[in-house]
Amino acid sequence: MNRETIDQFGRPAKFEDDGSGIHQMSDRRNVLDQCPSSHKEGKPVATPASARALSAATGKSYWRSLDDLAGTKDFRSFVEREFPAMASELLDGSRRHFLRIMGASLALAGAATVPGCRRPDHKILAYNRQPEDVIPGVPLFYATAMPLPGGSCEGLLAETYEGRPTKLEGNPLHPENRGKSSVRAQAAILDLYDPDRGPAVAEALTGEAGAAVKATPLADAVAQTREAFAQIGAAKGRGLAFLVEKTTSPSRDALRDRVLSAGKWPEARWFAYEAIDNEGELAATRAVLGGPAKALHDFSQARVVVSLGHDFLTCGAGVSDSRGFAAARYRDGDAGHEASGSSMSRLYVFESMLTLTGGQADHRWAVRPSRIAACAMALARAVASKLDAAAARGLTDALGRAAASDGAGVPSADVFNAIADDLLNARGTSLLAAGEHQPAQVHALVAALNAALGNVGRTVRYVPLKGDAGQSSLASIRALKEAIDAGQVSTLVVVGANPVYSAPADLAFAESYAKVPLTVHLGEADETAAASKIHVARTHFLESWGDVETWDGVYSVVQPMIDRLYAGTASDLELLASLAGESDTDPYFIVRNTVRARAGNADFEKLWRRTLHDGMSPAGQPRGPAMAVDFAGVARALAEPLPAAGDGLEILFLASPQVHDGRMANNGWLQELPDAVTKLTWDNAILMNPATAQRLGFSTDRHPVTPQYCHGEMMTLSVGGRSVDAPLWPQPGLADDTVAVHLGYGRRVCGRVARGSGFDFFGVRPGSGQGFASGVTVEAARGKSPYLLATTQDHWTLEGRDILREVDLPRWQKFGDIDYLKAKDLQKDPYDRTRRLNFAGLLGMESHTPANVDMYEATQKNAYALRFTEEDENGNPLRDEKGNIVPIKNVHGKPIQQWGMSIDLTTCTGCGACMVACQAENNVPIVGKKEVAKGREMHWIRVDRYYSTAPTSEAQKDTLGVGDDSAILADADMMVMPVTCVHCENAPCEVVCPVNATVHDEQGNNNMAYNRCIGTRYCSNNCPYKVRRFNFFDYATKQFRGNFAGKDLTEKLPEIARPPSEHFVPPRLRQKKLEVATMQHNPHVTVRSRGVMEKCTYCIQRVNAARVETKLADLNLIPDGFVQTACQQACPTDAIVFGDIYDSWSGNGAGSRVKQKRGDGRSYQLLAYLNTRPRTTHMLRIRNPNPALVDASRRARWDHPLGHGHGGSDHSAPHGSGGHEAKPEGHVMSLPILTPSRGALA
Amino acid sequence: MSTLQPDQATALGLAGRGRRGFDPDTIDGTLISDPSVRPPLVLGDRDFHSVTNTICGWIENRTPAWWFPAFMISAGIAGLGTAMILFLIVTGVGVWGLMNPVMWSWDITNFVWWVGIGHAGTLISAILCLLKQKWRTSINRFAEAMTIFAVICAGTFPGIHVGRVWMAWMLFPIPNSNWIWPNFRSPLLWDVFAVGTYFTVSLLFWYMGMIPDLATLRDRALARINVPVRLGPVGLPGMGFLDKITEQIVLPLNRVAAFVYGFLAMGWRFSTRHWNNYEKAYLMLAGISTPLVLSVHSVVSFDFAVSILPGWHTTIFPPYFVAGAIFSGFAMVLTLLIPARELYPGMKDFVTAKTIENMCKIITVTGSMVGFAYMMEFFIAWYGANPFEIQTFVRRAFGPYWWAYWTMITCNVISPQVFWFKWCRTNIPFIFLISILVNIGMWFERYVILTTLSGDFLPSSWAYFSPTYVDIFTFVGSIGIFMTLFLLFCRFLPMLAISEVKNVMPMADPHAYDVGHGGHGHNGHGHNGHNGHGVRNGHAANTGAY
Repeated sequence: MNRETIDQFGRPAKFEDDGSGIHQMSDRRNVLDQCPSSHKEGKPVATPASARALSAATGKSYWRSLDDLAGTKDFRSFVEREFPAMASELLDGSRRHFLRIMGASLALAGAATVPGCRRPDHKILAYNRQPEDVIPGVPLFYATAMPLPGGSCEGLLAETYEGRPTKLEGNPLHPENRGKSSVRAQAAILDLYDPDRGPAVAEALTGEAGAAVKATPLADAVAQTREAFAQIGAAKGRGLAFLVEKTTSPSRDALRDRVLSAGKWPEARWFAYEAIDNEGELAATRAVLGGPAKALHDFSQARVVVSLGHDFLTCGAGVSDSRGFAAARYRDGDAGHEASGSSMSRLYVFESMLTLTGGQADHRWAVRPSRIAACAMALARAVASKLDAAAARGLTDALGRAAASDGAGVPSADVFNAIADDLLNARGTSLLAAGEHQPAQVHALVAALNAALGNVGRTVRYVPLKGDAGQSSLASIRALKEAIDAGQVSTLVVVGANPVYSAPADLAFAESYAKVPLTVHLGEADETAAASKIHVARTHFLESWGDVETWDGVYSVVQPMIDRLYAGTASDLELLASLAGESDTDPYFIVRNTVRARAGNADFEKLWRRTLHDGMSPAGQPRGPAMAVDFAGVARALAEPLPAAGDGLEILFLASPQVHDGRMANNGWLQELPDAVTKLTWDNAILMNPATAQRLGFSTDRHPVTPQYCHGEMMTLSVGGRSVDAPLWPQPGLADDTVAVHLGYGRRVCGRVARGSGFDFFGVRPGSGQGFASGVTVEAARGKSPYLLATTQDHWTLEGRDILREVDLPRWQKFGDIDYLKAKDLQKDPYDRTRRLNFAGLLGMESHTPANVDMYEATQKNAYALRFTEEDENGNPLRDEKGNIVPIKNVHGKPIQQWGMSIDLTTCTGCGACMVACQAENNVPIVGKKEVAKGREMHWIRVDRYYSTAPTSEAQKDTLGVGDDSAILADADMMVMPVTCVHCENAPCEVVCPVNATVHDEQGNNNMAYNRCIGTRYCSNNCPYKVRRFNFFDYATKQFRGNFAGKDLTEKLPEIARPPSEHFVPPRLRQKKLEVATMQHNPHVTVRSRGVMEKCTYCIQRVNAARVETKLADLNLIPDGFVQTACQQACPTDAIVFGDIYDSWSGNGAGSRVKQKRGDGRSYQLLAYLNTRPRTTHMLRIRNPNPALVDASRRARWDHPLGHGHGGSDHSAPHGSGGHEAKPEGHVMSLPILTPSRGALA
Repeated sequence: MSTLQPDQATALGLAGRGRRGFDPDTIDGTLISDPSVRPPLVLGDRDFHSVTNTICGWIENRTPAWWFPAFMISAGIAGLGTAMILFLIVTGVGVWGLMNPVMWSWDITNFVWWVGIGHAGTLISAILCLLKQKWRTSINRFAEAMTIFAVICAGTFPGIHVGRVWMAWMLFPIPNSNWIWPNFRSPLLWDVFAVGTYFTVSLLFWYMGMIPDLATLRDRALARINVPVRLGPVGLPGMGFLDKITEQIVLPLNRVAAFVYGFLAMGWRFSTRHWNNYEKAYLMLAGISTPLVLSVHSVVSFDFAVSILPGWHTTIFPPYFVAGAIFSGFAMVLTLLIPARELYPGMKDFVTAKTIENMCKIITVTGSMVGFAYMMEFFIAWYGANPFEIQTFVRRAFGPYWWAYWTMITCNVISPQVFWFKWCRTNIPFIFLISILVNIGMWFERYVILTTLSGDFLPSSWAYFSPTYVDIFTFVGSIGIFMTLFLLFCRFLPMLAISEVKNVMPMADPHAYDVGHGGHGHNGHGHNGHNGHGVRNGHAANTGAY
């Protein structure tokens, strides 16, 4: 056993060698005997209680006086706080005091080292002997897992530098992630270093007056509650209740079972609660499948997908849904026939609010939330009528007994017949999914349809939910409330949940909560913490041992990466075990025992190591038997009347894609990540279709105050007698008469990041309508001025430009493979010169521009020999025997790899994982709401979102063209497009920089030399893609003293004296960032100062690291796929591909993946006509509409090889008004384009 | 100036206008419609001595009462601007309203505007000199000073607008530890050279032209060196005892003036050799400056034309910018000259209505050129059929910045056209108003060009720029800096080129017909009687038309 494996941060640096010594040291510091012999049993050996006592027993006596100091409480607290946030003790004290402290540290070190193998192991020490594998500056990766809200997990790899985790990546072995990761997983690392998590800081961070949050260290909490629990123990647990967040942790389940066991507290009550839960599915599966179950979807096998309000791309299980969907979404054909042989799944979406899933849809209908059920019913009837009798029997019977439903507000029967035909053609490979806000009937119908279509077991799998996950949250919180009100609860332990904030509004839970005599809360410093008698701050999952299972039973150990940053914090296992008086309260041993129990007869140590190394247990098996759909249950579920089409407005409550139910609200990356659809940051709003807003008499002007800033008019939203004031944000794509709101904002007690961001719609969410509710009124809030909303993209339409190209699958299949170089009449430019354009290129403006003629190529024909003998500075020929350009070679004659990227718009869903991954990798700072509102966000990669709609009239066509987006209403299509620095070969930025700060390197990267940049910003002006980001202030190095959401800490000053933004405070008057906040930084990436420009670097630090690795492996070149950019690595749908664009040796001669992508007919260069020659290319988006559901003019274009692609509004408009119809073979430039909706680019 | 001067009467007679409707304050008789007759360039029955006395008197006499409040206000505004600049440097460029995608706005607008204003001086002193436009002599010193101060203001903005001001030296091609030259492909670097050269040459030209006049001031100060200048009573109420003290305080002002002017005069002795060298040097500098007039603003326009943005990437920019620069420069000269003409006694004798009318004509010509350029931009955008280009210009005129565009059109294209009417170009208050409008319009022209940034290729990045108070006060402050420098110039340096003005007077030409004063005799008188007051020796052969 190697004791050097504990690094200077007290974090186990290497887990594989031995697990026994690497548990939570700081709380087991009474285990001072680290001798391997005594650890074989894994039991602590009784030792003297403190270092002081130890020293008295075994140390040299002449240290005693210093030991006295070392034993004082103050000093101990200093030592225990391994990351003193401000190191205030050192600053406060005199030099003499400092020396005393140093001396005492030495003394402790002496006490530690002298007694041989007995030494405390929780101190900061430089490496005495270099541990194996730990090389300063070279990261180590460890497997861990991140529990997800409500259950399941993501399997992750943590990148650590000398014991400091800096980045999380998907675990390639984990079936949920397969190397990919979600937005949430990418952002989780920031929570670890959240300064507001520490108990010391939480005190100062009360949200509202009187809501003081004081965290109690676990040991104190246990001591304070000892008496109460003794009484409870005597009463067999009567009066004790637990309210826990839902999780799928086997260790916690085991603890629960022990706590509730007969010998302990059998009469205690245990409630599982999630603020945003899938109540409908739980109820439906109880009726249909006989027990609570979770529908797991395998989109990769689904050819036809129907979503009934289910936004699986945003809130599907982890990332596997997105990955599976993308895998089936588009498949290339055989080599050489990519287009004609390609296939694609088809997605129908019925939804109320425009979501990412709706944005991917081939056909989308905006339906009010209450009408989704009617859609499901209509679809079921259509399918039942077309199924053969035997297969349809169960379904028909169930439908026959269903309550009547009206067809108001539902698409026409033709729609459902067409979908039904499609579903029947894809029996067994179709998939229906229902949204979590939908009632049980919809889930039951979807289960019945899946069963009738033979999808169950193929594309849909129902896994039973056991324990906490199967409980209804609504029932739990109701029962708890009733128990409290009945005086049955004397002690309430809340683990993780925040019911005071998120409980249904009509329960008035906060009042009941205050009545409980003893409340113990473990979690963030939130509303419930403020209302609790005892609040224990919770550890981050990277700080403490734990375990978790995926829905289908893949077991992972949540492995910590660092010792807890804040003393006194506890994990849920630790708290429960301590309160229950368990003999083993160390989560490390709790988890080990769980694994031991699961190991059965297998070699436990081997299994343990395997589990830690792989990040999951090899024994993980899909759990439970397959569950069969019982149509009688469906009939029972359908006997309940469907939601009626009410009059008036309906409200849809959605989990925020960023902060979920508010638990991620203190994460700056997530707050600043623009919502994929609304593009709002730092806030939520009342979302309403512009037409509905206008009908209600509200202005849809997004700039009522100044043209620069978006504002929302303040509205009072009332549901069932409760109301909340929030701004109105016109949002295309919503169903008429529907209001959508995101939950999780408007936190009242929270950290400094979340403070002031958004509005709390939990306050109006009734328990009866957790997903949606009717009887909503929205009226203008009197006397409230418009509210500033920070959006990263103000413009809605493409303005008729060919930036984002789109084509329907049949047309692509027919024409995508045409070799345009051979089709003579198609390849000439207006000057009769040969042009090299692929299918996607011909859809764009570059097809109108003259061919780019390389003047050197022209010379070469005449002076062949001269060109041939040309050499570069290293003596390598520039051309081969045939005169083709050969890759540049370095001094050793090895080719220099040329990097490039491809972004596939067909599979990109716009989730934003790339944005957060880039932020984590490249130390991209957050700037706060006011700066975002100004347009100063720093994201290196952004996801552009455009809406388009089929123009219904000529007049509308014109208005769309000039950017009046009021015409974009419910039926808007959404398109997303990630844009980052495209690393132009002809980079416009490089020419104009006066100080050579942005230059090309020989690998084709467009680099930024930060120390050369003086900040003229000319490069950004000249960048046609506007991907450069400027540090207007010291965003990265100075602490933001204000409230990120726009209010500043100088609130006490009179209005006039306040700086317009916290950033207006000169840097020297501001504090440096807290040390803990800078610990997340990637050590390989410069932290940029103010006044310099920055942008995407193609993660050049990763390329360089990969080059070192390949050199060590004695390889000439970095193999394809060996280096991944951060965005690529995170991308759940694999839309981003990065590699060497000249690599022709990989893939059995097919070339690197990026090379293949660039050769694809779908590949095009953004703004190619500028001849910037981007290294990052985009691949056009393909939609796969049902021919039965599109109009004739759209179908006609499928036979048209060169009609123009997507230009914003050009969904249905034929390319008639340009010169094309008249001369189908030619491609003249259309001139009448003063009205952009006509002509060349319309 | 209430009484009619003899030469004014002559001029009026020549003009055939009689005394009817004659307003001696505005129309001084130089506005002769007969092209065969040249109006006098200096009025007021002046001899050389009175010219010297008048111009030097503005410096030597007691400071006019309006000067102190004017200076205090200007200096206050300049202080505000300086405070804004310091705040900017200390805090970060973000105190301006700049953002993605509008990374330049008021900073570069102000830069180009000031550089443009700086064009008039050199044009007047160099190009008009080479073209032998004698009416320029009364305004060239004034305009050159304005040029210097405008270029100082202009040079401030590129310096302070960079993100790391303390690294701005990296713009210069100086050997440094980075071993890196600046990027010679960047128009910003060309700016450094162009503006730097222009400033240097303009400063030399201005200073060299001033040397004989400085020598005159030196000599006059030397003559008064023993005349005591007392501080005089302070006049504070209830502090009479102070007045008794201050009345006794003698200030060595004449001694200081003699030293300072003597230092600046660089030993000028009015010798023939000096005059000979001076004339040669003057001509050479005029020759050097002439291409600079065209090059500076062409290079500044390259900042835009070299980029690839729609609305910026146009070949029309260099001539269009130069025309605009002359346009705004003349407008600014008028803006400054018209009040000065009123405030300094005797100045109207030198800056005649004819001079002002000439300037109005130049404004109309250059304003029409600018208007033509605006038209051509639209035409080329349509003719080039580039949708991005079209969109940019449609957005300029009808997009979110329509107000800026139409302000520009109104001020720059429409307002100077009124000078086709004689009444408009002879009515001094009206001319002043138009000159202000042109200044505003030319500022908006640059602003409109920079609004291109708010919406270029990808609609996702489109955004709207609004200035912050720091933007506004920095700009206002730059006007304060300009005015402060200008008021100091008016107070301490000869506003008119004494020797050059004398040169175009009839008596400078021994062969001129007598307009009331004996040519020879007068000349001789001027030279002999008065210690060589800047009148060149003998019969200088450069009096041209007379």
